[in-house]
Amino acid sequence: MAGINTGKVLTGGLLAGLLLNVGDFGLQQLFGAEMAANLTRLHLDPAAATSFTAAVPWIVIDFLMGLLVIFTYASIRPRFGPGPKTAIIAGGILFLAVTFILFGFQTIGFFPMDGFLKNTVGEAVNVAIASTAGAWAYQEA
Amino acid sequence: MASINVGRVVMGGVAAGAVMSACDFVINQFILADAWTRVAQARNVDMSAMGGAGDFVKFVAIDLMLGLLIVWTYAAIRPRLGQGPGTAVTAAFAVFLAEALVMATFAPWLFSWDMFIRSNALGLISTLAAGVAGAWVYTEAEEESA
Repeated sequence: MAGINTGKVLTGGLLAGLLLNVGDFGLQQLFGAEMAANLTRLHLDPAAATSFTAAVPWIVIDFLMGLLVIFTYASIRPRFGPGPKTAIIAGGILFLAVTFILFGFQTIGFFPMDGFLKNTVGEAVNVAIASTAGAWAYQEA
Repeated sequence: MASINVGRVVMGGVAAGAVMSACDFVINQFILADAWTRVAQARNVDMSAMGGAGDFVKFVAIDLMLGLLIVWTYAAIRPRLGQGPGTAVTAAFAVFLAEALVMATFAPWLFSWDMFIRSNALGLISTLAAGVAGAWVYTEAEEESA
């Protein structure tokens, strides 16, 4: 079994990360008002939480998530074969991991159910697009 | 390539989920209980509403789903990375890292970096232990028939 092509994981991961950032920016624009209301409920300042300083970790982390998605894609490729279906499976693994944890926080009361569901659907689409594009850039050595 | 042995994923996932539930119970009910209460008070969240049987079942169910996901991921990456605890740790770490990265986007202002680091350090141990336990149970279908 050939090793993972690290260079292509970087290329595909950065592409996926870029698209995750674009998608997250879109979701922020779409649900920003609801998010701000929830932040106020949590005794947080919406302006501070949505500032550029607060956005920097999001941007970096989306790129790291992109790299993780494409590493996962490369890891499961021998089992499922190359292509968009395998890319969506790879993205789906990480999407589900995150969704389970966020559901736990929703249960405690940190997020309202309505906002959680809307963001979950939006992120599912976002991850599917980003992982498919990133996997398109990945090739074995 | 043989397909994933779904029966063994379920068995391994239940084992992984049980390990994770036990660890999370100790972590959240004892080690970090006071810290979580302070976070809830600071964020206007009613923690007293938590702790009922229904919520306990929800958290066990979340750990079970995570356990299934880790063992399924282990099965999926086995042809590439080989069988054994090293691959189990890789599968569990991938799942953990996705969770930790997303938590890092809101932890600094919702909790604190200190709380984030403590809960994730303990969560990492819990997730890796669950992954190794679940992978130990998992076998491919042809290995079972051999």
